[in-house]
Amino acid sequence: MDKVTSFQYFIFVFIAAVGVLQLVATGTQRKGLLFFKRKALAYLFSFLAIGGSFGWFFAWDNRIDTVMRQTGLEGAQQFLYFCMAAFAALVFTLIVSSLVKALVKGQPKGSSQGLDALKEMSYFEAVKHSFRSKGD
Amino acid sequence: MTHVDEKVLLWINSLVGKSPVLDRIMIWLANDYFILAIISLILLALWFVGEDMAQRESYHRAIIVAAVSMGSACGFVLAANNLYHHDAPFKVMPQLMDTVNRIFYPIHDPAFPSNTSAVTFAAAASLWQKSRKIGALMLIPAILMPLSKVYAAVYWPSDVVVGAILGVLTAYFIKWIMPLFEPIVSLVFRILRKICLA
Repeated sequence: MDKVTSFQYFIFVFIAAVGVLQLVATGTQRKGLLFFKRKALAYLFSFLAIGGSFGWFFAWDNRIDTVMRQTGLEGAQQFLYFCMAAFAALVFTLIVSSLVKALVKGQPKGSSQGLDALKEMSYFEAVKHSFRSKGD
Repeated sequence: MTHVDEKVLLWINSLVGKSPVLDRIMIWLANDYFILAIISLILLALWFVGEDMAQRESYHRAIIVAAVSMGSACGFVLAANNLYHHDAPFKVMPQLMDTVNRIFYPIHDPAFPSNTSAVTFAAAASLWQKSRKIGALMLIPAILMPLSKVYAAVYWPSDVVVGAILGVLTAYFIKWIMPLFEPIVSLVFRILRKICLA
């Protein structure tokens, strides 16, 4: 019988984490992280990503009753692959949202620091701004 | 204690097969990945929550405590396994094997203390120290996952209770020793803020 592989788990967490990041970015108004300008589209994408990843990983081909009925990934492996996939999802989100923002002209510039900067500008602009400004 | 354990387990386990809906819910809750993925995704989402930098930092600290506590709880469970262990319910009562296979699968790891409840309660207790509301919310999956494993006759109720106590103590211990690592933690926050990730 097949087992749950680390690659499958990585893909599941990656897609779910991208969805979670879009959901939380929409909820906290961090426009610099969003793929879509319209809130409704962002929410739709988030729910599809989260629901789709869970549906695929657990329910596709009735995996929860077949391949998951044996020891698969150990706890430490799950932790490692979760961290790797969540980090990859964050990098993916930062790159895609910055590319999307680059296509939109006339976006407002701000002076916020840290994560707050993402409310006003794309990630790469925020980092550039952060290193140009003095202090923390 | 063993008698009480057996009575409670058999009562909970007697529900298996009575309701297909309840069985299905328990299959999902007992799954090795489902609840742990939800808890971890909630921790990821919380990283971005907070109105201002100070509030956000307090969430970040709670998330770090939760992640370290979850890992440490696994370590403490391993250490406890070496001190004392007893057989899982389905090994003591082979007639329960059918219910185990119906909901979960026979585990090979020692049952005492429950690794599942140590990890989930460590996460919930870490967040409880930051926010009672979020901590209480996290208690729901923290209770449901180990409970489903008692339902499946994989753990004794006492395994789950001791695992939960171990998880909670771990979370408070990690929070307590966090100030020792303050210089490192502060440096990490400064770097993360500089690259706009905190």
